[in-house]
Amino acid sequence: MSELAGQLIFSLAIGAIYSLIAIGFSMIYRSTGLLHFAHPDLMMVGGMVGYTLATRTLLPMPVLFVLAGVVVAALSALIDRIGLRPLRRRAAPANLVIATIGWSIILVNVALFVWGTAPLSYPELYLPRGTRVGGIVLVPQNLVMLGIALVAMAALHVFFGRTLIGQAMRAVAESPVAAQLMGIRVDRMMTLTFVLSGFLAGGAGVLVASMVYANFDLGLIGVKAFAAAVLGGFGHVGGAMAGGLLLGVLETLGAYYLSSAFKDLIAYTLLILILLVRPHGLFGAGGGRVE
Amino acid sequence: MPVAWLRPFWTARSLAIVVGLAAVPWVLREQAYHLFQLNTILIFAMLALGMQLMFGYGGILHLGYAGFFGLGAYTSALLTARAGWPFPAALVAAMAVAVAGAAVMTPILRLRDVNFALATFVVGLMLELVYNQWSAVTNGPIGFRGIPAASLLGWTLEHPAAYAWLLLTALVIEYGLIHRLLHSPFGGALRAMRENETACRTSGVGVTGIRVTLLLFGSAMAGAAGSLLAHMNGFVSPPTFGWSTSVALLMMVVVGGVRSLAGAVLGAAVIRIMVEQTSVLGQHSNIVFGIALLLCVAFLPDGLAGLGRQLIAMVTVGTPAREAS
Repeated sequence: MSELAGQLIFSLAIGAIYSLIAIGFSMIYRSTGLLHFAHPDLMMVGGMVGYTLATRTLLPMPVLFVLAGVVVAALSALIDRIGLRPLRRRAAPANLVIATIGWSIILVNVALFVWGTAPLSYPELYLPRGTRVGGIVLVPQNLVMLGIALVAMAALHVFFGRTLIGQAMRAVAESPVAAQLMGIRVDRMMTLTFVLSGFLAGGAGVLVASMVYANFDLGLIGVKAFAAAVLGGFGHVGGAMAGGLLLGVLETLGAYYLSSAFKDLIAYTLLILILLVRPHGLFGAGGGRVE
Repeated sequence: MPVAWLRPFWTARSLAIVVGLAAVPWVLREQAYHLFQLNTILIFAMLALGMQLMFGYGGILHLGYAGFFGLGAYTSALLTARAGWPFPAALVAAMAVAVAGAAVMTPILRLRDVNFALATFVVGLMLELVYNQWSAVTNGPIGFRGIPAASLLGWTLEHPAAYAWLLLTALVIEYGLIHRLLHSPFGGALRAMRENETACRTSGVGVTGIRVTLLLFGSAMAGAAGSLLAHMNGFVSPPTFGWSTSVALLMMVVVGGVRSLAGAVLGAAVIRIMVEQTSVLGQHSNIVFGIALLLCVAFLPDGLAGLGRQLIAMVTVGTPAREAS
């Protein structure tokens, strides 16, 4: 039982990381209609940048989160500015997806070039280590991670709900044309979307990489974030948060009670069923068909 | 329009191209490495054609297509190596299994746009997971070895040049079938569906039926390509049937030119050669590949086929190039 409690905290921490990436996916999809396949690789770059900062400076985790986030936010905006925005006007959406795949290839290979092929482990003090508190094994790092992710999500919630810029971004996501007619500068809001989602991805990268390792193929974890975004209803920020947490718990419980080799198969099957029964996601508006 | 259905596949030009292609394996008969490359390109061209039919013509963005390629490969490998089936029977079985697999996933066709793409993406992940984890059958990540060479009518196709002719025949048959399909009343319905789906539904054209047909047809082609790959290499392993292959196929279609059959074949050749060349240059040169992809999207909106059409139009002024759609 106590082991399960520890597992649950771990699963929530992992789920919170999925959420951070899934929110970025959703935001970009909502405001630009783009499936951004390079997004998980931005997370990977965040993990790498975090590694370099961690080994040189030994700064505390929340500071690393912010610093790596800022670096990746700049990178994300740059990619949008030079690689996606010029194409948005002249290329078909399918071609834009190919462009994001091109960016994914570039990012992975630049990471290979800079950081090499070997998995890099963060310095000792960042690694998860268990301590026993009243019969329950607690891993303080997991709690720190969960805390950071939850603070980030709360901040996002306030940002989208209460601030003018946040509401403008939501308006662009809802309908770019109407937003433009209301005097919102759509291009600027889209850039801001890339900055914000890049920040979240970079920060999430630090959290993931400190938990496992920093390596060029870390972006594969982003696949799960896709799934989380779907689970919560693609394009809903709140849904992506909940979807990530739920997926983390589901897969950990699946591995605990069933087989760990096939745990993903269970999560995937569930995903497809949810998509079929509730195409708007578990937390989306209404069931039935999407037209 | 009725004339368009009857547009023949065997014109003087297509005949010349096929004869020209058939001569290539004979020219390369001494160069094993080039023949291997050629055969790989031919197999990927078969897959790219399937992807073109589904995605280019039908708007079905299938991100798990490579998984069905794997279904064909593993089916054929198991039946010949473990159960001793002859190659032609295994080829047919591979196509049947891929079609059956696709039939199971037809409910997904109800989903639209991003949801459909994500569902197929997840299906691809599931298949790759099975290939990796179900070691008792697939031999897991190590890969499945000892698949016998293909033999046809008592004739073992061990020489890569002979195999190239088999692949070329398969490719021409597939190309012809798709060409026929697109220039039949079904092709007309397909075009109507792409133009305006609602109008299509209200005038009694079964959109779901069209999408199911495209998916099953595409999967049969993937199954055949998988079987042909297995007997070409004698070895199959899970990474070949994963996400990166599905992405590569999508690239072939877009780089070659969406809604162009010749473009899909051309795209397959170009992407395969690029992948091969950049890996020869060394690991980091994949960056070049990524940048080339971006430039292609930016400056060739209709892919290589569009570029080709423009060039032809420039040479033969006054006769606008027509493309089947």
